Amino acid sequence: MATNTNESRAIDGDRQRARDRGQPARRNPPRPGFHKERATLWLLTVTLGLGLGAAVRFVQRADQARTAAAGAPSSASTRFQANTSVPYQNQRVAVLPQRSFSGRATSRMS
Amino acid sequence: MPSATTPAPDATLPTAVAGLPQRRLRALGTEVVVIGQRAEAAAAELQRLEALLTRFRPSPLTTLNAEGRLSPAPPELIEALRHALAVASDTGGLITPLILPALRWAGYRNAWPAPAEPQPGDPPATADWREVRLDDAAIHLPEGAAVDLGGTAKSWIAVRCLQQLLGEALIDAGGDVISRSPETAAIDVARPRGGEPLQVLLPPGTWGVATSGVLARSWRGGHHLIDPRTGRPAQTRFVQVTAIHPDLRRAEVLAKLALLAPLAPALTGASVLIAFDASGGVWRLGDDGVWGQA
Repeated sequence: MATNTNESRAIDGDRQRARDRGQPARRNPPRPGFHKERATLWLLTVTLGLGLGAAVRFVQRADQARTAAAGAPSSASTRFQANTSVPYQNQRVAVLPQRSFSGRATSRMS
Repeated sequence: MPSATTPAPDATLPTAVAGLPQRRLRALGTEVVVIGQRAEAAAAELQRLEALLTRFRPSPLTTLNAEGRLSPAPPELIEALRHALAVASDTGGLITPLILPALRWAGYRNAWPAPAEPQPGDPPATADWREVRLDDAAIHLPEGAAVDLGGTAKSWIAVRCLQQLLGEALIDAGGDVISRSPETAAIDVARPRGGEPLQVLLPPGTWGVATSGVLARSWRGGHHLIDPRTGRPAQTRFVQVTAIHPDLRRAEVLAKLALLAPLAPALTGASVLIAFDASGGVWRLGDDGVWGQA
């Protein structure tokens, strides 16, 4: 609380001195504790995060394309498993070694 | 007695078809499930066609077999027989509708699950399918021949009945499945001796999944898959084959052909062929026509 009171007094003093000099008071004086180094660090962190996300998406897309070309279920099938309303993107028939999704019917000898 | 069912959710089906009208009935010698808008009409059509093509109760087909000729013949019987003869032509006679005398000799005389016992002696010769005469109104069989459409009619009927259904639909004719879906459809493939099934994922569109084998409809000393080259129940490398093809009629033929002639060049036309050997091993036919263990 004491710090805030001191900051308020300092800002008020700046405005009074500006008025005495006939200059308009600064509406947004620099906040105490603002460091250029800290801002640079945040900017760097955000940039690295965005870059990392883009790289992960690129690898996922490459994996899907590779498995689709091989006719095998791709990572897209994971989404299909979670929600059967999501279209399976692979345009080839895929054979799974076990029952992985909700089957509509069973083909059997009869 | 067939019974109508309400379109209640079914835990074994995904939401995409569980909300559609369903009809379950006993037909084609098996349990049939029809799912889709106008399921009642499709089921009625299925029963109508079965009544024309069955050999197990009085029908135009039994009349044809008894008399060797039929005129006038129902157009549906002519069309189904024409399809069966086309299959015989495509398979070099390996899948022929004239197998009935040999099938009866092997023991399959009455509707399954009637007891079946092979007859003594040698099997009767199978007539040449090329000697069948048919036009738009009449059918003439060669001397001593009799027709069984069991090798081709189930899928032929299912495809016709699918045309009665609107939009997303599915017909499960006792293991021969035809699916029409705007989304990917998952169909289970039962293993011949039970256990965890395999599963196939079908891209959006219309697909047929047909399974044939020698362990079902089998009895002491025989089973229902006759090899016309010997007139006897076929000695097969695999005990079960599943074929997946956009046309269920083709899938049914390919599944049987893979049992009778696993190296037939025509098999490479299937989208996917999955086979099980007697020890439970799973095989797939490669694009190069070579079977490989999966």
